[in-house]
Parts: sequence; C-alpha cells; structure tokens
Amino acid sequence: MFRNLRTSTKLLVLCSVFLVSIGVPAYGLVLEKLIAIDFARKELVGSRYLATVREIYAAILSAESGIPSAELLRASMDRVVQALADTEAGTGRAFETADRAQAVTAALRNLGTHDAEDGRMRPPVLDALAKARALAVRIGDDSNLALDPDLDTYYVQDIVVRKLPTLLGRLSELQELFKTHVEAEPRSHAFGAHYPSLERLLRSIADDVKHNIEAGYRGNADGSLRRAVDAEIAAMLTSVESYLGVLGVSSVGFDARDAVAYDRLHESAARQTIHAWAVLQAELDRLLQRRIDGLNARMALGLALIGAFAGISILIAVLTHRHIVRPLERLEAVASTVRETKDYSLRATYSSQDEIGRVTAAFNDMLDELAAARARETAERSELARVSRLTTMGEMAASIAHEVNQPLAAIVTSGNAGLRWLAHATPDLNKVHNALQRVVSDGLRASEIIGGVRAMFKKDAQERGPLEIGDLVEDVVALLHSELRSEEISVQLERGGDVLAVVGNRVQLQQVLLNLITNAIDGMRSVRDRPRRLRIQVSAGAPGQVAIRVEDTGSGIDPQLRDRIFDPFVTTKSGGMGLGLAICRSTIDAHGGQVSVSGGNPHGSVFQFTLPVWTSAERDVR
Amino acid sequence: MSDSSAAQPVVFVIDDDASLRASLSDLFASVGLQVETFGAAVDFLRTRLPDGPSCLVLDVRLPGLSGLDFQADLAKANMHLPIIFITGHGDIPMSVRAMKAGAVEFLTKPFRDQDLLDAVQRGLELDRTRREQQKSLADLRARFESLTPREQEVIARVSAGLMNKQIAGELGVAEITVKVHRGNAMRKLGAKSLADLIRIAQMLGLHRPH
Repeated sequence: MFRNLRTSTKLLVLCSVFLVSIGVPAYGLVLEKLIAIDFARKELVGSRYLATVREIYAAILSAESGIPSAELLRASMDRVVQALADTEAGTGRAFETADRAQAVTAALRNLGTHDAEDGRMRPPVLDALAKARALAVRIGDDSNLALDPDLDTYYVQDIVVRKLPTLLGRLSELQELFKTHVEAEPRSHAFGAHYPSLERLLRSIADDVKHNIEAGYRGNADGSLRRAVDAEIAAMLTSVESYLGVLGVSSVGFDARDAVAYDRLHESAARQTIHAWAVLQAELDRLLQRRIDGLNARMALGLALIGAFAGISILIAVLTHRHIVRPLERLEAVASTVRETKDYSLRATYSSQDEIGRVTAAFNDMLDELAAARARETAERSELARVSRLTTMGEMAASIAHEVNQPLAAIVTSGNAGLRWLAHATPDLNKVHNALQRVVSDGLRASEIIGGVRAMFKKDAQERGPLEIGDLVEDVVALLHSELRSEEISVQLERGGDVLAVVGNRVQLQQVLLNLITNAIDGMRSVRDRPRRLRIQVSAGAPGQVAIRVEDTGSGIDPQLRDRIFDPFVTTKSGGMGLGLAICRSTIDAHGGQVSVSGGNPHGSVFQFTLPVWTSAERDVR
Repeated sequence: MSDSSAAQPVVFVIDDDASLRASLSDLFASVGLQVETFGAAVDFLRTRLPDGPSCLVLDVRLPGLSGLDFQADLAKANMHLPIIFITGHGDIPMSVRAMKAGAVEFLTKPFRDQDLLDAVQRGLELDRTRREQQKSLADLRARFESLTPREQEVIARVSAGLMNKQIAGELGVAEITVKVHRGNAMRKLGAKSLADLIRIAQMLGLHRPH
C-alpha cells in the first residue's frame, strides 16, 4: 500500500513521523520543566508564608522585649493575625497548615489580650513562639527542595524554615529562664541545671546555621549568596555569641543590675536574627526566582532548538520534494507528452549530479537516440516510397507499352499486308480497303489507350480532392482488363447503391488499387483447380468511412506472414521486393484510412482498406 | 506419301488480340500462304494438324498460360512444330529461353513484315526437311526389316568394325557364308560401299549385340 502512495505523500508521512518523534520528547521536556517551575513556585509561595511567619516572630519578640501599651500590642497582634489569615486563605491549602495557623492565631490573640500591666508575659510568648515554629516546620516539611540538586536554596531554606525559628525560640526560652531565675532567686539550682543544656542547644543551632550557610555558599556557584548574606549571618552569629558569652560569664555570678544589659543583648540577638532571616528570605526568593527564570530560559531554549530542528526537517522535506519529486513529475510529464505528441525534440530540464539528474540526462539521451532513429526511419521510409514509386511507374510503363504495342503491331501488319496486295500483278483493292480499315480502327484504339493513360496522370500527383471511389476502381480494373482476361480471371465489381465520394489523391489511390489487384492476379496465376475470381466491393463502412474490399481465390498468404505482410521487404513473390504493400499502407495511412488483410474463404486472401468519406461540410470549407 | 509432300504449307497463328489475328491472316494470305488463326492455345489443340509442312506463330502472352509454357507442352507431346514467337514486351531472358527450347525466331511487336515472313519461310523449310528426314528414315527402317535375321546380325557386326573372319568366329559359320550375307544385305539396303553401310547403320541406330 505504501508503495502505491505518491512520492510527495510518502515525504509528508516521513516528515510527519519525524515531527511527532521530535514533538513527544519536546512535550516531555516542557512537562518536566513546568513541574520544576511549579516546584519552585510552590517554594516561593512557602517563602512568602514564611515571611508572614517572620513578621509574627518580629511582632512576638517586640511584644516580649518592650510592651509600649496594650492598644499598640493589640493593634500589632491584630495586624499579624490579619496577615496570617490572608496568607492562610491564599496559600494555606497547599501546605495543610490550617490547624497550626489557628493555633498560632489563638496564641497571638492570647498574647494580645494578655494584661500588659501584669508584665508577666513569658509563658504566652513562648507558647506563641512554639506554635509559630510548628507552623514554620510544617511549611518546611512540605518543601521539595530536598529533592533539588541546587544546594544553595536547599540550605538557605533549611536555615529559614528550621534553624532560625528554633534559634529564636531557644533565645526566648533562655531569656525567659534567665529572667525567671534572676528575678526570683539568683544562683538557683534550676538555672544551673537548665542553662548549660539550653546554651549547648543554641550553640549547636548556631553551628548548624554556620555549617549550612557554608554548604549553601558552596552550592552557589556565582557567590552572590555569600555577598548578599554573609555580613548579616556573621552579625547574627556574633550577637548570639556575645549574648551567650555574657550569659556564660554571668551564670556563675551575676546580679539583677545587669538585667537591662542582658535584655539589650537578647533583643539585639533576636533583632539580628530576624534581620538575617529577612535577608536570607529575600535571598531565597531571589534564588528561587532566578531558578524559575533559568528553567523558563532553558525550556525556551529547548523549544527553540526543537523548533529549529523541526523547521530544518520541514525545509529538507521541501527541498527533497523540489529536487526529487518535482523533477520526477516533470520527467513523467515530458515522457507522457512525448508519448502523446511523438515530439521527440522535447527535453526534460533538470541539471544535477545526483541520481535524478543522471536519470534525466539518460532520459534526454534516450530521446536523442529515439529522435535520430525516427529521423532515420523516416528517411528510409521516404526512400522506400521513392523506390516503390519508381518500381510501380516502371510496371505501369511496361503495361502501357504492351497495351499500345498491340494495336501498333496490328496497324503495321495490316499496312504491310495492304502493300503486298497492291504489289500483286492484279492488285486486290478490296483486300487493300479492308486492310486500311483495320489500320484506321487500330489507330483509333491506340489513341484511346493513350488518352486513358493521359487522363490517369492529368491530375497533380500531390493534389487531393473529392473522388468517386467506385469510378476509380472501375478505371483501374479497365486498365488491367487485358491482363485479367489473359489470366482468365472473372471480375466481380460490387458498388453500393450510394455514390461514395472520398477525399484523396487519384494517382496514389490508383496505385494502391493497382497494387492490390496485381497481387491478386499474381496469387491466382498458379491456380488451376478452381475458378479464378476477383471480387471488389465498395461499400459504406463504419460511419464516415468507405470500405474497399479486394478478394481473390488465389494461393493466399501464409497466416504467419500475414502480420508482417505490410512491412517493407516482406514478400511472398520470388521476384518481388516487398515494397508494394508497404507503400499501400503508408498511402492509406496518409489518407487517414486503415488497411488490413485476412484469409479468404475457403481460398485466397482478402485485402480491405478504408477511406474517410468526403462530406459536404468539407465542400463548404473549400 | 506422295500426297503429303505435295500438301500446301499451313501457318498457324495463336494470339488473343483479334485485330492482330486479322492482320496476320491477311498478311500471310497476301503472300499466298494458307493460314489458320486461334484466340487461345486450347482451340489450337483441338485442331487436327495437316500432313504438310506447317509452323506456328505464337504470342508470348496467352490467355490461361504463357506461350513459353505452351512451347514446352508441345515438345512434351512430341509435336515438333517450328515456333515463331511474337511479344508485346519481349525481354532478353524470355527470348533466350524461347530460342533454347528450339524456337525459330523471337519477334517484338510491332515487327517488320519481312522478318516475320522470312521466319515463317524458315520454319516451313525446317518442318519440310524434318518431314523428309522422317520419311527417308522410315524407308531405311523398312529395308532393314526386310533383311533376314542372319543378315541383320552380320550387318550389325560389320558396322561395329569387325572383320569377316571375326564375325564368322562369333556366329560359328564359315567366312564365305558371312561374305554372302554381307553382300546380300548391302544390296538390299542400297549401300554402295562400306562407308555408306556404316552411315546407314548409324541412322538406324544399330549397335553390336552382346
């Protein structure tokens, strides 16, 4: 089935399959990039949520350090609660943080409604911080960055999501522990027991931050992360370190007068941490955004490359079509035109060194040879025609000479006889009179024969005009009358009722008939056991045609030879050249008719030729 | 026998052209020759040929068959009639074939009357000579038949060149007997000499029996 498709269709199929085979991986690429972009977007959303959480932390810590007034606190809490509610409404669904957000909101409201006058806000603050941290951890749990090969975003987010909230929480716990014990009972046992573990936790978190950020720096190829956050991280760590350092020195012996300084150090550490958080978060956003941009760029590049290759493949298909299919189509068109018009001068135009070009060149060479062969054939045929015409003319001349010689011989003989009668001693005038009468009548007979021959050749040999074909047949039969009679051949001429006129050249058609009848006579010469009969029929054949049938009872033609009998130099006669029937065919062809041969029943052969009828329409044209 | 030699010579004409037949008939009549004309060969064959000298003027183109074929047919039928061919378009191969087959003349139409008449006279003379030869041969044969068987045996051996003694030996008779037979036979055959006898023996086609 594929074999029978047009070549352009095959090309189209090939091109389509190629495009699909490009398109499928392209779709996969786009899908993959879109997933990656979606991941990054989600991280961005999470980061934004974390920004809200950071504000909550800032608000909680500001509430912790110095409470200006109940109204301000409430307003501050309302603001962050509102921000949290907005964020939760916008993106909470993605992180399933509804319960934790509610817990944070409740803690914040508790914090906001707590009596500021009391000055004892520690437990609610810690509670709010713990709730906020849980929220942050939930957001962090939903992060996909762990799967990400980009280490910078991974570590930065880890710091932002886990380490900094925990750090802030521990700082507050430490401050709470410190304040509780300083104010209640200095150097208590409880403090001594709690402080070292908290300090270790804090230092461990600070180390983690340091370690993580170093890992993040390594994962950040262009170093922008380090430039953006190094100072803030260092400041945060320094302030945490100095807070811990003071506490560590003081833990063996400090007094309440230093409480303000501790508060300030704590506040500074918290502020630095929040600040570092903000900076890190901004950097995370930037990195994520850059990653999205990078993914988008890579996807665009990939699509552009695929598009370019698809375009190139289409271009190649078009070029293939132009340089294979179109030349082949033109070749085919030229071939069929040559076949229809027989115009061998046509040439296919396509010059190339490829197979198509060579096929085209070979085709043109073949046409050259065909044209040359046809020219040779035409030349040979015209030469044959010339030879045959000469032969026919010679035969006709011999026939005419014989016909004229007959009365001439009689005239001479009669004349001589008359002279001899006159020469007698007593001339027999009666005999002389008879002799002279015979001379006169034979003279007239000779004149008639000459006149008939002249009439036959009077018309221009090339001129064509309307002819009554029945009369023409009768003329030729009359010309061959003596020959037919001498061979004892009975002639049966049948003319249809209508007068059938054809357009043709009189002499040429006479030659055709002369040839066919002479052949019939030759074919019957050897026949002795049956009547020698020549039957010529003129009848209306197919519409617009006249059929002339020449039938004899001669020896016939070998059926094996019948197909070739019209070919030049094919003959059944021992002395013939085999040109007569070839010329007959070319003459009839030139007249727009057809000539055919078949076997007679039961003997002899039947030659039939057709000629187009002369119509009155042609007369009008003339 | 004497009747036949005195019989009038006859010229036969076969030509399909009636006009030419009439002219030829008139021409031969004008020189006093008896003439019979035929339009076709078959008509001629139905005629009984006369005893006197005759010849045939034959058109090469005849209805039904060619004059040359007819010539061959006549030869096959042992009818040795001198033939003068006339033709409307003679060519060399045709005339050569005709002359080889024993034609007297081959004339192309239109021909000079004297040529034709000469040829006819020559033909008649040939026929007359042939008839005379046939007659003398028949005469000789009759004389030979009149010899006794023994005389015929002797003559056959004499003409073969045997001497009297040899013949006597072969036949088992005396030499003198051979001489008597030989003398009688020569007298009966009208041979004046040995050479004469040998000529006669050759004419009769005698040969030595074995």
